[in-house]
Amino acid sequence: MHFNADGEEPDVKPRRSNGVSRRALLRGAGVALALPWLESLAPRSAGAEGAAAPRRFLPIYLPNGAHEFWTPQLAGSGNAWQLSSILEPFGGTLKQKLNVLTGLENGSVFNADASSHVEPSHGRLAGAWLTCVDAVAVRQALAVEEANGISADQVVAQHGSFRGQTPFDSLQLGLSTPLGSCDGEPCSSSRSVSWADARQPMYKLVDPREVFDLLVGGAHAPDPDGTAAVEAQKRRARNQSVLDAVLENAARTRARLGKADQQRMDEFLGAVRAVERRVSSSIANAACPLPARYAGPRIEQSATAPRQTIPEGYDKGLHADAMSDLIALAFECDLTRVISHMLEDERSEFTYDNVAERAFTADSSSPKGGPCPEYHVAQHAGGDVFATITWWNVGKVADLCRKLDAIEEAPGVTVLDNTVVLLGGGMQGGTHAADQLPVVLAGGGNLGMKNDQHLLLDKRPLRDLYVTLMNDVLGVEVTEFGQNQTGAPLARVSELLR
Amino acid sequence: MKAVLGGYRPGRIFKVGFVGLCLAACGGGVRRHDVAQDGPGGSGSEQTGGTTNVAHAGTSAGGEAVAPVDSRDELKLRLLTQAEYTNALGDLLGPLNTPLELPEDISVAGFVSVGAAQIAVNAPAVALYESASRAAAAEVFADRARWQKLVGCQPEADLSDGCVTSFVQSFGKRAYRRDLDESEVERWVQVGREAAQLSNADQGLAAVISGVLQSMNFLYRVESKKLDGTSGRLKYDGTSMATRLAFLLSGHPPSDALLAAAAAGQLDTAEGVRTAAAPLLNASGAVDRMAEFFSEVSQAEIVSVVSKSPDLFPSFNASLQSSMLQATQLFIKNIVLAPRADVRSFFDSDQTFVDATLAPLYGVSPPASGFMQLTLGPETARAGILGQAAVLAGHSQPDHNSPTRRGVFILQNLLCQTPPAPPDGVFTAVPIEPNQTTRQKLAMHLASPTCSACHQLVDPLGFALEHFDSIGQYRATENGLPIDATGTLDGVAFDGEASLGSALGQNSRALSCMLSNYYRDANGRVDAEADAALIGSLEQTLASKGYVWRDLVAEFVTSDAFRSAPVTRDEPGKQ
Repeated sequence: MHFNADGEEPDVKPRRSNGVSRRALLRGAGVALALPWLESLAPRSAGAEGAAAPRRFLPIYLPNGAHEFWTPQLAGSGNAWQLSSILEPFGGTLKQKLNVLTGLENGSVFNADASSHVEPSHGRLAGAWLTCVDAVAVRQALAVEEANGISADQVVAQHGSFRGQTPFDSLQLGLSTPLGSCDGEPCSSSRSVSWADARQPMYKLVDPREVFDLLVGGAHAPDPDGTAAVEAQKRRARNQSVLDAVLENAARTRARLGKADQQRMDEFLGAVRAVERRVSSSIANAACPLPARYAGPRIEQSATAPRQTIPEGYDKGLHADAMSDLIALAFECDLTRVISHMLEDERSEFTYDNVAERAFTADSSSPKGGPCPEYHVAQHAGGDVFATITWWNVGKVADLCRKLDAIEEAPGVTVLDNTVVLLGGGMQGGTHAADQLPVVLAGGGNLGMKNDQHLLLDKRPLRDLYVTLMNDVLGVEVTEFGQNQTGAPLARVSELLR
Repeated sequence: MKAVLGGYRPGRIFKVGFVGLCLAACGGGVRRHDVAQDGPGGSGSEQTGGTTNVAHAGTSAGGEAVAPVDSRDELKLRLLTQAEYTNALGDLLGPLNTPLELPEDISVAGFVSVGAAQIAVNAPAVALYESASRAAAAEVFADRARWQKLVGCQPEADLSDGCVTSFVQSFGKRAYRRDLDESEVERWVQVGREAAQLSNADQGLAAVISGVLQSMNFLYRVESKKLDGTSGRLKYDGTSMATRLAFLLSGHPPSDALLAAAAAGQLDTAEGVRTAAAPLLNASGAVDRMAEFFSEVSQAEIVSVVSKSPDLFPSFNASLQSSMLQATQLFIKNIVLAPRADVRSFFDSDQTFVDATLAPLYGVSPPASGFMQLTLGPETARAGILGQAAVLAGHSQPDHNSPTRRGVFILQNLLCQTPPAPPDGVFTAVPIEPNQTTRQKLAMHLASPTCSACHQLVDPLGFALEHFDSIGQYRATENGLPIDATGTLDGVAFDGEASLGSALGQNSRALSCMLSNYYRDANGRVDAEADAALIGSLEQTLASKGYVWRDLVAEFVTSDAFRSAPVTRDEPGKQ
């Protein structure tokens, strides 16, 4: 059981700990409030930002690798390269905001003899995708059941230029249903790409309603005369007053503490302030267009359950679109600047019977047959069914990119231009290899990135990409990240930069 | 009971502070880059917090003198554990039906109480505390009779009268476990009035309750101690002692009577503490709290979060895991902590418990219902805590035994010895050899000079348990080959688990370690060299009490080991 916006109306649901409070924070959104007597308690942190463009990071995980028709036939920039059949959904104006990177490899999970074909692979490669460490080795070293490394999105979210700038330092979202095996690894490896540190997987939210509540706090409830909104505003004011007193109390006691405890108290104070910031921020003031509330069946997520049935009436397309709307909302309203998203859990066994099989060549595809089968079977069967599922997932990411590109946040600059969308997978495809990984970047044009390129890289470590994006695009200075046991030195992927 | 725990992760994180890096660090072969625990920007506070203190926990502190430099009044904050928080809420507000989701406990150096002194609260944790406090207050204020009884007076609608002030004073005192100063009272009264103005008196009072429960003075145990000229140690004041006693002996915050005794100066002397402790020790919850200590020492709860290969161990499921854990808890409570029991039975008792689920694994016929006590014959080769299926299964890999891992557990948790750090970057896979026993496979650890320094300490202890497979089931042979479970502990030869248990029961390091461990659990910190003499005298006390644990505890709380702390080096950079 957990509680809604203000902990006052119990709402029976299985509880879970996903790293963020699921308290709906922003109750009253979408309603213009005129309550002058509340002004003394009005948000104080709003508008603290300078004029600099927000920098955003959106890694999106493609499970089960990509079909070989992912890779465009020609490399180069502009008209020198064309989209492959699977990347075709990025056509039109989006291509001009795209980078396709071929030849990246995740050496952190290579075998001891430096070969790239890893077994068992699914959980292990997914776990390493955004962390670039081998979870197996970390677990052995720490003598624990479950571990990984901090993930790239969390390095960004925890950095001083991101942390505390928005109501949520980061969000973890996904479309998993979940069906699939964890392939001998702790399920955190295949079901959570974000890790706050070596011990803390940040499980994602999968039900769009839950994400909606988190972001906009129950503003969807019918409220014809506005009383619910007024009550919500009062509650928010009360909660803020309480948090103020908690802060003062801690600050007073802090002065009596030893230095080490003062530092711990500073973390406590910072944490309380972060919560207060969420309470005080309000997208009601930001005139954010709220998306329609997801109407599909409830989607349960579990880190450990081996398989669950797909709820009656579930529609993967609807699920994907609802989540994309919420991602766009969160960015547009600056509720967060870092989101990790998973199109499915690794080794997903979801049956894509919502998608009709198509016939693929390297350059194009056309309608072919009936519904697609189960994802993991399709992956290893290869051929058109695997290509179709990959293509469909690419399409959903392309749709999301279009949404972001339709929101102008400065003259001639869209949300996508200030966002690095990274679509990638932990393995190449049906082969379970951790080299020649599928990687597409979209956006970032206003953050110093070149666009409209297909880059052929020669066995470059995946971590080079992350370190480049952090340092040169997102403004997060790091000198190292993850591991790479091929011995390749850390280097920037300068081809991406203007 | 602990607060409701998440479905995603165990409620308790086993952050084994002794970074047992050397385990399995020697497989030969490819050199790896060092294992990154944290990437750049990763918060190191938890990690380093766990390991820096623990560096002192080994056989010696590396010859480094502990320099007493600053004797000023020093505080050390411990966050309430989940159990302490839940108990405190129940004591303050009465029984709550609302399940509360709380931040997880983290075990450092083997104990959540040590972790509680080191973890920093982050935003998600604050949000959980916030939700929990509001949910608890909401439950109370859903029942008018209930909140009026709690508040004890009838306030004006805007809380403008003195009712809220007296409530803040009395409720605040029980929550903070000390008197509030005037400005603290005023601040919470102000919160109540602001909220009442927005809504009504109920909401105002609920805001006070939820706010006080989010305050660091409730969430943390703020203790105060001063240099005592006679002992040269930092002695806790009476109010701190009330809280220390109550949480250690009952898991609950101090009662009003105990706080009053503290205010009257009765907890300033050993005899006064003895008098105050007596009712707590006689209460029914005292044994439960002591059982938690032994449960933490044995890390029995790990069994509920491990997984096993379904092909090799099809019987290993949630029901068996639960039976294993319950059996170990019964063993601790009913054998080790039986009223006149010798605590060394922890290592060598021939008693155990099984239910119908667990009986096949122990090779006995199942009881008709529930758990039955069982005498383990010599043919079972099992005894004591190390013969418990929960412990054996909890310290094994999913599909094979790891004598190294089991050995590290014995060395660290039962002998308080930390294996030395491993060599840098060694690849860790152990080759698969179907025609060898695990012991034969691991022989290379002992042959290689790089590996043997560490592995000779741990592997032989683990070999003693080789007659029990990855789920704690007896096996006569491995891969059709005879099992060699012989070894020596401090010169005493053993052959198999029961025999190692007997050796541990008579081993002075094991007994000393048990007392060090209790010191850690009770004080929320790892013992320093300066505590060695005190722990040594506790060993004598335990012997003089016939090894009855509860009698030791009664003496422990009156000793300087609990009533004071050593003067330690202040934080780095503050000489």
